[in-house]
Amino acid sequence: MLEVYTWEPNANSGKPLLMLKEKGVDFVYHYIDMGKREQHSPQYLELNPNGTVPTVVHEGHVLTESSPALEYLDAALDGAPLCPRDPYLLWRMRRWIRFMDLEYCPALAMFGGAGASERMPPQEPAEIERQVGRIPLPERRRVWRLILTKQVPAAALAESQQRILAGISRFELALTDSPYLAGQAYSLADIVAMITVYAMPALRREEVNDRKTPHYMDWLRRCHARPGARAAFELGHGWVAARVAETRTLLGV
Amino acid sequence: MLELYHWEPTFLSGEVLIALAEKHLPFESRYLDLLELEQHEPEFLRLNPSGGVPVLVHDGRVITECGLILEYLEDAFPQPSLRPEPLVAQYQTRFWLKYVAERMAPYVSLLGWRHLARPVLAGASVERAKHTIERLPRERRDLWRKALEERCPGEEIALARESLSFAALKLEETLGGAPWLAGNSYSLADIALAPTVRAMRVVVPDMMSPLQSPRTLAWLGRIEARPAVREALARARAAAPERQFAPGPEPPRWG
Repeated sequence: MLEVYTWEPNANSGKPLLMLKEKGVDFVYHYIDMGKREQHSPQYLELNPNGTVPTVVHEGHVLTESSPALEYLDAALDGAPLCPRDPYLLWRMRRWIRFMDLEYCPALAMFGGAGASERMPPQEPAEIERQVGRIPLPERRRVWRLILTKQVPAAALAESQQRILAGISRFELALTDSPYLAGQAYSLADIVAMITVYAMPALRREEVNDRKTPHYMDWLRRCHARPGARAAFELGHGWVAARVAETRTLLGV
Repeated sequence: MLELYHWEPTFLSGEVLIALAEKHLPFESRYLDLLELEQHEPEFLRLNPSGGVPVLVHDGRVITECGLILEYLEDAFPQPSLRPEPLVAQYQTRFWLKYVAERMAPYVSLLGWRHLARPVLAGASVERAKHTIERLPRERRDLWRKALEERCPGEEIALARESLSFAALKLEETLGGAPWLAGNSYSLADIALAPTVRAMRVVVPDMMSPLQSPRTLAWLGRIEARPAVREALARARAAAPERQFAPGPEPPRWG
């Protein structure tokens, strides 16, 4: 039995959804609403004490780190393998995953967090502390306090903006030489990257387009055209579907 | 041919030196003194533009990033194996490889630099360093610039300590259920964590006291007794290698 506790097919939450749809494997999808911060609820913390999504449960094993969980699932489940066999290409795959996990996703998440922070109604300091107090990881507590008190620092946001732009060039350069991030075949690197940058042509029209980043755009076309990607994005509730539809129109897929 | 660009056999360079010794792999050692800023020389930056060690070069191919170098060594030289058979133990190994890179090493480095390395650095070396870092890519330069300044915000120190304290509890809990981090066999996870935990013993001794972390200290003792680990540690050049730190890697920016 395979169960996935997660939010939308978007960024970290979406990694196992995209991967399992690509593999064509059945699973039970438990929707954890991050908008309602259900990932910090006592019931969820019992399953995953870190209070992060996704959590994958396979044959009684509870897997809480999404990228290592993907390698586990690739080896444990049937379906076409999503890891290259060659040691160097395998390193390249993992290097992209680490870049996404430790460098690129945090920069993009800071933008998302700052946006969400602006839209939130102001709250009493005592209520904010109550909510922050439920979060187990110290780094996550710090981030949520910044979001809820509407104090995401402007300098940190500007730095993230720089990193997002540098990342766009990094994708373009890597995809100039090969059709996929780890070489000739679609791999977990593409899955991890795709589920985070799938809407860049719509969100960053000035920087990601056929004139400035033709190889990045073609890679997005190839990724979006895969049946697994279509199936994964269909799991979205509302805003993801709208972003995907807008991106597909721009890409012409 | 294998070449390893590394610093002292402690902390980040330590894990790769241990893995090479465990696998009995001969290699060319390329020692870089990070406090002399040799990792910022153009020749090395061509190899790794981010200016960090360790870096492995295998038949001309450049392999970077702690943890990922260990995985590469295991994939390219599978015997003797340092990867457990059960898939769930492989997951646990990768969990720890990511955890140490993301939530432990940056904080150990930050505190080690602040409390041990920076205070003994002479004024002239600081001035020279400020000049040398101009050739670094922006992110790395900012990290060094901030580190070379005297002051560090108290909240960064507090967050570093809080995260390491969380990690120390997690280690103690894990080693209560099994002899090694990924279960019943010594693996890449133990190799990746041991040098960072050794550094914690110096940087945050209160968290690594016999009272606080008895199982972690016993685990570390078993690792330090291994011939391969002794062989790696014997490569030290500095008088007190465990007190040597340079700025980096960067702490997680957004949780």
